[in-house]
Amino acid sequence: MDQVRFCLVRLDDRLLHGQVVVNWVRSLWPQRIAIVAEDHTGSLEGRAILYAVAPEGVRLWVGSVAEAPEALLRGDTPPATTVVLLPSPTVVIALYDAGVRYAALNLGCLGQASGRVRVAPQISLSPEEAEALQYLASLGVVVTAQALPGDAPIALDALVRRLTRSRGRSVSA
Amino acid sequence: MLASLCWPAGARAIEGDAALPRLTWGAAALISVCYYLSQSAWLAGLGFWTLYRPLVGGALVGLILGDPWAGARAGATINLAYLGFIATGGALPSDISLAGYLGAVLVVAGGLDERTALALTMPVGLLGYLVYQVRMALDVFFVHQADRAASRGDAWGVAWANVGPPQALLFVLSAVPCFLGVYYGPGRLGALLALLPQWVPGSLQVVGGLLPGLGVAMALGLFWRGANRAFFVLAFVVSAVARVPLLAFGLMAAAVAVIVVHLEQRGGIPDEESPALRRPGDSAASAQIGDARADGPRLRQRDLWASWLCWLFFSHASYNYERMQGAGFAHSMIPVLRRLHPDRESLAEGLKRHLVFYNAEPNVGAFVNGVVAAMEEARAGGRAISEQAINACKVALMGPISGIGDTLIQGTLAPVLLSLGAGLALQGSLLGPALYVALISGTVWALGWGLYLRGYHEGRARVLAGMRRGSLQQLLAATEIVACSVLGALSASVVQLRTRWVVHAGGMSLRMQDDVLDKVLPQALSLVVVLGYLALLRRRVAPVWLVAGTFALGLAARLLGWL
Repeated sequence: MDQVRFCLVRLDDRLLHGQVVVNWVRSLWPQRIAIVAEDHTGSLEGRAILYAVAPEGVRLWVGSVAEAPEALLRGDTPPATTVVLLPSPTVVIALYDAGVRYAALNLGCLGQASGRVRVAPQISLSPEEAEALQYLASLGVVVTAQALPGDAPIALDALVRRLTRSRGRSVSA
Repeated sequence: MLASLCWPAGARAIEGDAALPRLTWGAAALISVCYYLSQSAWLAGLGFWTLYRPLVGGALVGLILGDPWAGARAGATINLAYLGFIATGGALPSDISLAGYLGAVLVVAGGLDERTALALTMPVGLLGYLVYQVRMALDVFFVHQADRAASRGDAWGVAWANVGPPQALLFVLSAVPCFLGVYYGPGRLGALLALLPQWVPGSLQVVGGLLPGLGVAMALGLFWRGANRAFFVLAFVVSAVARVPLLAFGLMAAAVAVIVVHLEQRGGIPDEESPALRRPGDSAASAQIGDARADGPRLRQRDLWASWLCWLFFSHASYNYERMQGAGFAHSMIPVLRRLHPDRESLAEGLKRHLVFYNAEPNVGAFVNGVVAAMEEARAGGRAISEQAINACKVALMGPISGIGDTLIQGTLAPVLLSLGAGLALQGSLLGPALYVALISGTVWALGWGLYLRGYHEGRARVLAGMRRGSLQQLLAATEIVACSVLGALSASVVQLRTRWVVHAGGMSLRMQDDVLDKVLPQALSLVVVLGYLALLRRRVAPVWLVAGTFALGLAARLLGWL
């Protein structure tokens, strides 16, 4: 199946924060923001908050991975004007496997957690997560890290190199 | 005393050898301290909004060197190039502050004109950005120091680790390079410029005349939709044809904006799904918070005040890549936790609980601190509010609340107020920087304290939903109209571009500027420049490339004699 060009597909664990609603929305001017949650009810207990802060003039859709293909590919808003926000690497992979074959993935924010190593100012990855992203890249998805629209994108390969380097250091130490 | 310390310095700098001007060390030190303060924790949350901005920094440099008007003009010119500067989520596009301080020094003491100074200081922003990254990486160390203090239940230790060493490090990292640049820079640069062929300074001037257009276009891009675009064109034409004072123009635009928003009664596009405002878990939690105030230890008004002040001053004191404002948040909870937990063990637990990753827009984000203070009070009162519930609340709120805060302040109010202030400063009025400082400070303080209290008293989703549906959207819509109008007026007055191109045909010579353009629409070229930048930005050309392209174009146009 052909890959779909979305306006932006972004991995961002902070979801609708300033970088998204100010910098990206006001440079891409999408018609819709779609937030795909791990689990429809549980992980997004702050749904009302998301609706409350969605930027004016942009429609908001919040739903589960299972609902996503229908809403994203066959809804009335074309993918080219949809910004898709994904909270975790797990959702990133699950969404692709569910049939939403996006052509490019932007790595926005992924905070520090145990097992993760910081590979870009806003991106921390665990080896498993890096592997999952490399799997996506092997399927032809262009994966880059870019915080703001004006920044230079960093290729996934460079991030993985930083990860292996710092792991090498911690092993030898 | 301050004046006697600085002004002779400025005077000497100006009287000195024209080719090799040099500031006294006192003046250079004062300027460097201002630069440090612009990023420090000592200005009640205002540093980033005031001293960090070239408009304000330039005026201060001018004041220190004895010519505030020249300083304000230089700062305004430089600030215009960075009108689209928005630092969200800890990602800094470049350090605009150092460019402002250095540029103003080059103008006031070095005798350069503002545009050349702007072009010359453009790369300085990159140096400042490097310093920012080093600081964000090194501050991680102090957060671990705060961790150790927290596990001892040592609240002062946490506060010290958040503020003391990180601020000392910042002083070394910021004031020292700035001092060297300000003390040696003008002389070295002057000598360098004197060596260069004539056309180099000339083309730098052309570049410096174009770069404010880029800043205006970047800010304009934030509002470029719907009828806002018509307001931009309208404002441009009016101010290109008739010279209206900018403040009068801004007031007029504000009045029109209020009328338009009132007539429109903007409803907004309905969501695809109705917002699920009735969430069982949440209403239960807020009911718990409400009930808890009856028993257990209670927070006093002055605890809330102290907690907010700690946040206002120290939210970014040890900003770092690992936890961002984690230590800042813990610091703001110290007055709350000390009241609620007289014993060391539970105080230690509370401190550790809040030393986790946290990052939010600080002013609107004060709301979260208020909510968390209420939750802590309820927890200490014996209610079943788990540690996880408090953390989940912070995580759920920090992103969205930053979305509101950044949209409102960095994305809308700051560009408008800076445009107004810069425009006024360029017309020779110190009211420009003064008005900007007064308005932005008032907004930052009033919003912060107001929202902290609302967070404490009312809990979460309700207030946010009200903000979205109600007055906030109308305020934003009106401000966008004012922004586009002011940017239109600025495009006509600030982006100065006149062509020297003369067409010779059949014994006649036609001067493009005087004979053609000025008869159709004065300043038409400025409009072309701004809209051209905007078109390129919308095609997602990176600003760095636009700056590089502007330099290339400026050189070429000067050599070919077009500009």
